[in-house]
Formats: sequence, C-alpha cells, structure tokens
Amino acid sequence: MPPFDRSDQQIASLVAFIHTQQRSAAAMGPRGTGGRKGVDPSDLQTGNVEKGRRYFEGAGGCSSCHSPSGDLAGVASRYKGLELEEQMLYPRHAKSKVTVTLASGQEIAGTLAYLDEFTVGLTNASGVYQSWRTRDVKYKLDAPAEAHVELFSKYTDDDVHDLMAYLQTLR
Amino acid sequence: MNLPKRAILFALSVVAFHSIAAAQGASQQLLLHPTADSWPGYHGDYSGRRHSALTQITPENVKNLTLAWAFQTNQSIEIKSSPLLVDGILYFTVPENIWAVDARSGHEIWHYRHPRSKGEHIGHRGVAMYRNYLYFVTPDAHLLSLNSKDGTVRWNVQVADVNKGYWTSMAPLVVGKHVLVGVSGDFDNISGYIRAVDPETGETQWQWNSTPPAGTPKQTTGGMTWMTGTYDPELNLVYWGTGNPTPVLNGSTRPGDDLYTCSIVALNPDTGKLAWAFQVSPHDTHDWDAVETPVLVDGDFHGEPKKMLMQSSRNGYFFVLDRTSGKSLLTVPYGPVNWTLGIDKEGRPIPNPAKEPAPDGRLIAPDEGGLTNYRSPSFDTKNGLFIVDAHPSWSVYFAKPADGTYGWAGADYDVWGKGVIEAIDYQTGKIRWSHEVGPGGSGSGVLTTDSGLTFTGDAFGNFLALDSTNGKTLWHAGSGSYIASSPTTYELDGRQHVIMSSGGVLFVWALPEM
Repeated sequence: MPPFDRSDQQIASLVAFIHTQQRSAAAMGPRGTGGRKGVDPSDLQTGNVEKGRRYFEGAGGCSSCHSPSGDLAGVASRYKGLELEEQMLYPRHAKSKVTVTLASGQEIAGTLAYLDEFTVGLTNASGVYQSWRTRDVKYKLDAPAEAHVELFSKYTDDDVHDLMAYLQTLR
Repeated sequence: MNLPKRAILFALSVVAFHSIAAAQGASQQLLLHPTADSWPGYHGDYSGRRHSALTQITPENVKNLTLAWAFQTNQSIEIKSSPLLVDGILYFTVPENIWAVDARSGHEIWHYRHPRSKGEHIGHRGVAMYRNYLYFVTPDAHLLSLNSKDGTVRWNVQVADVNKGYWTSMAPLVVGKHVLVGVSGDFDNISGYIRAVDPETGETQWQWNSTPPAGTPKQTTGGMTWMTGTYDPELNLVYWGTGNPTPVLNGSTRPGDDLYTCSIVALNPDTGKLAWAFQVSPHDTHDWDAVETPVLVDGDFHGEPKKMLMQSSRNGYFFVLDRTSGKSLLTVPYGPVNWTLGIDKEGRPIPNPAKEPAPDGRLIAPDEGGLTNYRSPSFDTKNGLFIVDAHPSWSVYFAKPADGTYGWAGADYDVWGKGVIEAIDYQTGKIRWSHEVGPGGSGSGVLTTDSGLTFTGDAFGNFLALDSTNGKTLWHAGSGSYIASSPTTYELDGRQHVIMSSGGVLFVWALPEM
C-alpha cells in the first residue's frame, strides 16, 4: 500500500478514527456487519391506541387477567420497544404455580421450579425446593403465561400493533 | 476332544478369512447393505430412514436397558455427529476433532486434532468412510482423508474459500467412487454447491451449483448444501436439500422463486447432472433451509406402489414426492404455520407477501429455527409412520430499508416454542400420536427399530424409548446435558447397542449381559 503523505498527527487521527469505527461496529454486535439487525422503538408505532384498547378489553381476553391500573400500570415504563412487544406476546419470566397432591391426600402448593415427564419440583413460600416423581402424585398447574400461547394463532398483525400502541400508553 | 487335523485347519482358515474380511473397512458392499454390526455412513444406510432391523431390544425388555459404557470427550462442545461403526471401531467428531473408540470397551484408540482454523465452528455431523479411509471436513472448508487405523492424514484439499464466507460441517456421502461434500455459508454473493471428489486423490470430479454466480440478473445466491443427502442405487440418484437465498430476510433484490434455494434436488452421482428439482419454499424470506433428511421410502401411496421421498421441512410442511420424477404426492403442515396463501398445483407452498418481514414486524409460525432442524427424523417401515422431533413455535420477523439488502437484512426474534415428537401417517399427513418433550425444543433426532421402539430424547436431556405404536414412554435415563444428535444402533458380540449422545459424552445402552 503506498505511504500516506500526511503529518504524524493526521495519521494518528486517521488511525484513531478507524479504531473508533471498529469499536462502534463491534459494539453493535452482529448488527454492525451482515448479521441480524435491530429494532428501534420507532419501528413499532404503526398501531392504533383505541383499537388496541378494544382488543385488550374484548377479543384478546386480556382483561380477564390484566388491568391497566393494576398489574399493568406503568408497564411501558418498565419495558420499552421490542422488549415490551416480546413480553406482551409471551411473558417468559412469568412464574407458574403448582399444587401437588400426595397419595395421602395432603396438598402442597408453591411456585413451579421444575417439570419434566418424570419429576415435578416446587419451591415453597420460604423458597425451599421439594420434588416428587410424577408417577407418585397428582399435580395441578396454574400457568398464566399459557393464555398468551393460545392467542398466537388468533392475532392478526394489526392486532399485535394496536395492542402495542395501547400498552405504550400505560406509562 | 481330539478333532481331526483337517477340521482344525478348516476352522483356522475360516477364522483367518474372517479376520482379513473384517478389516475391509467400508466397502461398496457394506455401504449398500450395512450389516447388523455396522453403521457405515451418517444415516446408517443410504435411505435416510434411520430404521433398524435389530429386534433384541423390545418394548417388553427395554425397561431393563442399562449403560454399557460412556465415552467422555472431556470438552464442552456438544456432539452433533452420528458415530460410524465399522469393524468394531466407532468414529465420531466435533469441529476439528475425530475420535476412534473401541465399540466394545469404549476406550479411545486414537484422537485426531486438527489445528485451529478459520471459519464457523457451529457444529460437525461426522466422518464418511470408504474402504479404510475416513473423510473429514473442517471449519475452513477443507476436506481431509485420513487412514482409519491411526488417524494419519493422507491428503487435504480445499473445498471452498473460507475467506469468502464458506465453512463446512457436514458428514460427506460416499457413493461408488465419489465422495460428495456440501458447503455452508451465510454471506451474500456466494453460491451453494455439491462437489464430488475422488476418494483416492481428492481431485474434483464434478460440481453442481445450486444458484448461479453472483451478479446474474434477477437471480439470487445462497442455497447452501450443509446436510448429508441420501441415495437410491437402483435409480442411481443422489437426493440433497439446499438452503436459503441471500439476502436472507429481504427478497426485494431477488424477485421470483430463487432457484434452486430451499429445494430438494436429484442428481446423477457420476456426473452431477440435475435430474429434477422440487422447491420447498419458493422465494423464502425466513431462513428456512430445506436441508432436512430426504428420507427414501418404497411403499404404497393411496393404493399404488411408489418410490417416495419424504421431508419434514424447516418451513413447517411435510412433503411426500415421487422420487423418480420429483412430482408432489402430498404437502401438508405438521405443526402451526401461518405464512402461506395455500399450496399451488405443483404441491409447493405459496408464500403470503403479507407475512414477509416488515418494518413493524410480522408474527410468523414457525420460528427461524424451523418446525424441525438438522436432527434426523425416522421412517418406521413396520407402522408406516414418519416420526420427527417437531418444534411448534412463533416468532416476529422485521426488515426495514435501513437494514439494507445484504446479509441478514433484517432481524427475527423467537417468541415461544416447544418440542413434540410427532408420528405422521405418511399417506395423509395426519398425526397418529405425539409425545410432548418440553419447552424450547427437544434437540434429539429419532431412531426406530423393527421391534417397535422409537429412541429419542426430550428438552431436559432425558433419553427416551417410546412405543412406536402410541408414543408411550417405556424407558428413560437422564443424561445431564442437552442432546444435539440423532441416535444410532448396532449389534456387537450378539448384543444390540443404542448410542445416544448428550453434551460432550457418548452414552451406549444395551440389555444387561447374561
């Protein structure tokens, strides 16, 4: 490569600029290259607030579990943009409750900690973990997040955008 | 007892012959007709059915299955390969590593470590074998041939240019005197291809390109060939799946079908000539590679005998084709899909333009990982069931002008998914039984046997043996890590073994020794 006809200071500035660009690109992660891009909150503003509120109270069934002045008050301050939409579609951190009934008839309730085909485990009110073989007990799950799963096949994309518009008013 | 001398000599010569014959390696005969004590290629045999005739382990006795031995690779990369078994020795891989292990004891015979190379180290599906030579691809898209007895390298040829964005991860397919290799890569302006190489010298014999060169007007690049195909010796056709077009989520620069991306193709293995192609996802904008195993099945279809090819594809559809012509026999979803306007008269899904990635997002079923991925399905010939680890899932796909028209050209986010083992009636697409395997996705491929067992795993790392008629669990064992491979089985010393891996460990199961 031919030598630069520049002062030392100009070359140092050029090098610093290149390194800054490199750091910015790296900081964007794969978004800075040919990898996955990102989503801005401004991308998610195509919905209608009033339609969203009607969907929330009506066809979406959201008000059977949620309240804009209750559990969802300030939700748009807690989550913004893509994160809010992802939580709205499926609140992956929502905990399930479980009640286990032993052969004796005794019932033990707690927060679901583990469940596969063979083992059910919960943490009790004190946070202590207990488990049983599923073949030895009966158990009943209360999994509020699952109501979200049922909506996936029912939403139109407009419903999703309208709901987002409405939820973003709950600051 | 005093045996006559002639009888003793005869007995010795039989033993000697067997010893010589036993060291033949993977002959053409073995590849065409694998014996009970072998698994000479990635799929076991050329059909891709991953269905075994072994019946020692049955639905009645599988509850007694016990650990024969485990082999720990002592490293954290999860095993995705299917181990080969030839002449009592297992060969399996992770990127840049091959282990040769005694199938009786589980102890290491040799371990080849390739020097750290450039390229994507996303996974490795295993080696291929021809006579006493192994064939092994590297992250920097080289193909090595090694001596199976000690792992020494015979030759090393470049199959693709890693600096352009290619890498390789697949187990090659040996057909006759051809070693077939497929390539991987996510960058723009590179085409997928299948290259046939001479097994003795590594010289290129032919190459079939899935897409035309970069810059061809109104055409796309991409179409990577990163999973091992299958082969029909009577028709002398190799069947292979191709990956997605680029740019990935934005199809505006590549209007039209984007041939031959997201397709199943039939090639002559001697010449590389295309016999037919069927496109599973015309004009894909969701990264749904159609590289899943093209499973070859001979059987009745609606009362007529047919040579079929079946694929449970990433895009959510189950395809049954006539493999002599590529004509569609059946196209049905095998889980939630919401991105099509229906099926056209050729049996191809019609993509809905309203479900292409958009600036404000589109809710799409399935997710980018697909309704299934690279793990193998199995065709149970006894029950007529195509059994697959399915991943019903939902995601949101975005693409806006600022994302450009290069590379991923957008963003996609998984919202929710779970794993379900589904047994599909191949003539109708109806799901005969399903077995839930947990949130996320199961990760394990499927193996079926003639005794009526389905071997697979769940999302928690439990190895499972299911009753193939109804999906009920008959045996399980917790493995302690994520299962990322497909099971294999073989018979050795009169004992049936099943290999299932989890994390970096091979677990080998058998009934207790008498």
